[in-house]
Amino acid sequence: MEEDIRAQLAAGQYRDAFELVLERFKDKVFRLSYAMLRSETLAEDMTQDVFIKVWKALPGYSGAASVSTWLYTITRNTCLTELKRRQSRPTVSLDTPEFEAVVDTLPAMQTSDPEGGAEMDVHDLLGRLPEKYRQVVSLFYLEQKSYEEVGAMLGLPLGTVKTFLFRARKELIRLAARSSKPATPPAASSAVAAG
Amino acid sequence: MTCADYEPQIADWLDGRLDPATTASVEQHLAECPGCAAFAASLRVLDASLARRVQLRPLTPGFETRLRARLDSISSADAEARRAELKRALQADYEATLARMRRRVGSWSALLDVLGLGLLTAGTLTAAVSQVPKLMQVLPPDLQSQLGSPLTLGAAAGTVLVLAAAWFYGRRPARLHSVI
Repeated sequence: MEEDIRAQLAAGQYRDAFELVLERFKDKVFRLSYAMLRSETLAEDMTQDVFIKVWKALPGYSGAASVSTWLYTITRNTCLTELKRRQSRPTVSLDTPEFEAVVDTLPAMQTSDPEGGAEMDVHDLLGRLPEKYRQVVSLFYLEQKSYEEVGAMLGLPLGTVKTFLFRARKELIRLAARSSKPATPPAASSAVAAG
Repeated sequence: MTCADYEPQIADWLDGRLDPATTASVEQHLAECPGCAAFAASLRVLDASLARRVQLRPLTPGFETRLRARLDSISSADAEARRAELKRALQADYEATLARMRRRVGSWSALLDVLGLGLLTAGTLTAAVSQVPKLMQVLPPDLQSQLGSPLTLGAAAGTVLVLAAAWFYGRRPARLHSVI
């Protein structure tokens, strides 16, 4: 899959190699950035930064790791740096698009889709998961339920991905049951009744 | 196997990742165990909810345009930096060459100075020595025999001194140049 990129790199055709990398991986880099940063706007900015770094680093790419592994490592490091930078400046403006987006989703988080059958308000529940679990769950669904792709993107072994995913699902079910107890019956019970 | 052992398998079963034998085993357990059946139902609901909610818009249409504009600016900056680096290297090379030429010219100049000085000194000494016989003639004969040898020795010593000065001057051109 990456032979054409490696061939272009070996021939010193960095511009052509970059075009192939951009076309093939831009959406995955965007999804990985989103899973780590939880903001579409910020994830797009990080995707830009990642490909700027790739452009600068491509001539020095040794080929020891696969292009995807190399690219995902750059993405993770770029996002982690951004997260650390933001943690040191935790102020959030009320005018940011992110804040408006959160406000817009609030009503949707309180209701279930009447035509979609039983449903959990997972948007809110996902935010309560530990970071490592939330990243795995987000990527699992964004990457069409591929354990392998999630492992490659997060740099985790397949077994760890499966473990994190299973624990995250159990935790989400527990959180959903606890949050819906006072007003409505647990989602699991309604699902069992429906099934 | 306990229910806790079955739970990860139930998740794999939901994801369609079990072989036929394990699938049959899990499905049999689900038929017999209400607790695990409820867990499987919860997983199904959760799975559907996550699949519906965990979505991401595509990259904006201007993404690549913005990226290419940034890349172009970086390329221009890199080219400018390369030009500046080349200019610095050429300037350093020019100054080094100029310094070498100055040293060589200084050496040749010093050598010419020494040769000139040597010729002048040698000419003066030769003229002086050539006058020695005439001087000797006016001296008494016993004094002539006593002075003949020191005068010749003095002329030879003067020549050696001039040659030594020339050698030293050639070794330290800049220093002697400034002195001269």
